Amino acid sequence: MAVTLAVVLMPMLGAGLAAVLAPKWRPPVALTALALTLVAAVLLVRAVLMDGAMQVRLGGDGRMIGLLSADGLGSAMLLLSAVVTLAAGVFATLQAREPTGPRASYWPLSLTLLAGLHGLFLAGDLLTAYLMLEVVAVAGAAMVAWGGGRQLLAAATRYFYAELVASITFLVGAGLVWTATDTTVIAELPGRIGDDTTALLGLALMTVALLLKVPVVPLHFWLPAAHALAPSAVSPLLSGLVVKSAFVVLLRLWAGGGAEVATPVLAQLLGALGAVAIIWGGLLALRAQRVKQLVAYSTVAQLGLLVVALPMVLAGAEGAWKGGVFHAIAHALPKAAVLMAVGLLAASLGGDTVDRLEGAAAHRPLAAFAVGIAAISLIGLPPTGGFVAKWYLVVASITTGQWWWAATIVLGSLLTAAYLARLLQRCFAAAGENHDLDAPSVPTRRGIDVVALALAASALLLGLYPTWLLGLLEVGAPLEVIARG
Amino acid sequence: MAELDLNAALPVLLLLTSLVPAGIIFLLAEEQERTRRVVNMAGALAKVVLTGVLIAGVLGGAEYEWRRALLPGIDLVLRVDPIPLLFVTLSSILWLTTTVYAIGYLEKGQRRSRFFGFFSLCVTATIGIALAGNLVTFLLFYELLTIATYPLVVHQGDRKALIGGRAYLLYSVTGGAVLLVAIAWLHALAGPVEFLDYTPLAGLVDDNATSLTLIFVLLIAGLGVKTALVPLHGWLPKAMVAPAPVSSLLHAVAVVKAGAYGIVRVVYDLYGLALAQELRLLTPLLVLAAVTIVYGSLRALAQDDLKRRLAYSTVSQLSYIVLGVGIASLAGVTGGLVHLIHQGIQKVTLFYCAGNLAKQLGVTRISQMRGVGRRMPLTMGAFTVAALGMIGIPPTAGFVTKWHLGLGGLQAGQGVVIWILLLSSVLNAAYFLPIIARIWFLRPEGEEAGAPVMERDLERDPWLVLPAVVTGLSVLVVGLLAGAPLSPLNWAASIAAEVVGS
Repeated sequence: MAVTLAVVLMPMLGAGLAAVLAPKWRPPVALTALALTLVAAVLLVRAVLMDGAMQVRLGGDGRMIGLLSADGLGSAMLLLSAVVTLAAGVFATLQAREPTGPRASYWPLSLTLLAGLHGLFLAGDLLTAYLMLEVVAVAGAAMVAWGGGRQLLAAATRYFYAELVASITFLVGAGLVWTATDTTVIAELPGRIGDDTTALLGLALMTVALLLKVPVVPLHFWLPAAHALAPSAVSPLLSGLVVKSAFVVLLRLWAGGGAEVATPVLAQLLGALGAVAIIWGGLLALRAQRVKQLVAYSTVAQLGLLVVALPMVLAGAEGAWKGGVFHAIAHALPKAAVLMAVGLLAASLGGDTVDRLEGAAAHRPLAAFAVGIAAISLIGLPPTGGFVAKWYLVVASITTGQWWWAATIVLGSLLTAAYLARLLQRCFAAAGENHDLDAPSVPTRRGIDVVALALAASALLLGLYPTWLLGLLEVGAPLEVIARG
Repeated sequence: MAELDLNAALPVLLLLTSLVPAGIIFLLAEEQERTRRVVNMAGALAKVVLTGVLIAGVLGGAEYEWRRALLPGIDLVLRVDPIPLLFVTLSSILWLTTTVYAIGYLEKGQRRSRFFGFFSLCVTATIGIALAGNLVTFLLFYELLTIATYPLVVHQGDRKALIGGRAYLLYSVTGGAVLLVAIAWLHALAGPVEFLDYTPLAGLVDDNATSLTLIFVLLIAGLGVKTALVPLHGWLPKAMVAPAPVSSLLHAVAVVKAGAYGIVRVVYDLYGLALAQELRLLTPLLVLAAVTIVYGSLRALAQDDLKRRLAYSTVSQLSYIVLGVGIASLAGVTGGLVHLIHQGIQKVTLFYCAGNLAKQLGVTRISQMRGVGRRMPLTMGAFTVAALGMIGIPPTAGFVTKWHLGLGGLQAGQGVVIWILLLSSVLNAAYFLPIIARIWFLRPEGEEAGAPVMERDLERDPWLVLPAVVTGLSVLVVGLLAGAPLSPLNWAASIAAEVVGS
């Protein structure tokens, strides 16, 4: 109970403190708050593992104003976001002396974002979910804009408008569902939507809103620019966490209330969107000139894999649920590592195009090594977290007889291998002549590479020790709904 | 209890003897030459000693198995079964000789720390593949092998190397993906399946024969990429740009052999010979092997680049193993299994020699090989023995293989095998005999009264010459002593008896 509140309140408190303190004090205070949040998240995971899912009702006098529900899915995502945000915070601190280093506003914003994410992962009712979606959207857009510059501002604006439209759509949808079913608690929706047109419309609106937020092709237009232009300490949060938060809500909605209204055709259609994302994003990543653009398109493709899991979840495959969520987590760690590492490589070599990275490994071996390890997980080769996710999804697609998703997933990993090999090949090639290795353009602390490497290594560890997480995902999962499917 | 623990620890130790050196070498600075040499040799020697301990233990009836849960219901299993032990022995010994060779071959400034790090990782993956007790473990190490070998293939870092590397990666990753689908499908159908446990698959045969056949096709396709089965062989000649020690390892022990070994395991230890026959899977495999054997030989004929000719020869020779798998008789199985060893020692010798030629004389083309026998007699002697082995001239190792394959074909009533062997041996002779003639019987170009004292220096480096001579001699020894109790042939025959009997 207490930890459930602490994981949300701790970063909020930290954000408040960081906002009013002098810039010099912000990093230590913020890092302390992040570390304490991580402790709280670990305690919450432990509690969920031992005692099962728990719920906290907010409000008194019989009037509920919000419901926090800590189940396996929520607590796992929460632990992930605490880890990645802390890593990004350490990264930002080490980067502080550089011109590209974080501004003072980074600290309160990242803590606000974390509070929003945690709230969203715990949200048990539609209104809490809406509120937290807004917090995440505002904090995220502000962080994109933080680097300054017209190009970035334009990307941030587009990002913000997309989020705003999505949030309002979600709110309208939630209102419709509330009117029709007389409840906003997600767990109470099953059995109440039925054939009610108003409720169905509400569900549809919320789904579209979330598809825009994840985003799923064709609603992905805002992502590449925002993610590619955001500073190195920010893009890991956006690509690793923010996009997954909308997916979690989507998963809860569809595995809960949506399951009974989802016709097979509708489910296949959702999956098809994911398949298009995997292929389209992969092809664009293959052609991208700038490194972070490549990684951003890779994110579009990898998010498609999340949506591909949905038709299998709705067909009753327990493995698809686990595989999908596992992918959400296993993708975040290496993706964050890659974004940090390529940021460092680009800064050292004085250019952020793929060609410019030639010979980067000789220059910053640890960062290049981090990209290599992370790539193994992103492609989904064993023994990494990415493999575990892919294994569950492929097996699920075969057991549900939807073999075409297995083919899509495999095609997706081949594309991933292709565009990451393109990146790695440059990194590990003999040093090119297009840059002067003796004169790094930006001095950086060496320790910073270790942060990226640690995140990449954690993806590897997740593949070697996946059982605890798989067990955690079973806690409170709507598996009985799925089984009914 | 202590005894039991040791039996579980040995397979892991066998992995660690190359995994730990890999880790240490990655951390060494480029110029710590001596330390690196010691670590390399210590690891390689330890692996050979451990393999000896395993063989002694298995002969004494001990069982070695290590397992750990990876996913719910799926274990990582390392187990010493008869066929794995055969492959582990080959890998350990050839890793030792190749390590010696690589130490001699690589010069300063060639990023040796990175090279030897990945080199050791590559062998770790091979041992893992050998000992894998189920398909998931196999897949894990199979993919690790792809990853560890790629930096070795592109080690030169020039454009040609990168193109070769790209082809290698494209084929291998695709093959790995196909393998993943096959393994997942089998898992969805039969639950966790381990090697040498035939009951889960046997129970499926009545209702799911088509699925089992399709899974088999996918498995062979995934493994066939590394085995370089036609038409999946395209990467192998391109990967020739790798340094000679890598080619040796690639062609004899690690990559292509891992594929062939995988096919052997799938047919003998997963499906079992009986089930494979029942599903009529062996004849297509036989045809595929025959096509590959003939096609590889024909392409080899046309190559002037020595390493390319050897590469196509590998395509062809490797499929003798697959041919053996396709022949369901005692002698056929024996011939295929023993060729795992024979092809390894023959091909590794040829590549050592090709590397020595390129390094000492700058000779990379067959047309440049006139009279090199007189300038490098030891190296070229080893080359000749191995080449005769490839053709199958008695009393070399290759003869023993071909004899048993032919005999096996007759036993199984597949007389066509004899014709394949004859045709392929003629082709083998056609592309190896001219080289041998050129080496020994033609005078070097523009030879004057050469300076023999100078010439001796060409073979003075024992790190380069010794591995070639030792493996070259072994080609003769395993052929001559094929009847001895511990010879590869007798070993293969005893395994074959189990395979056919099961």
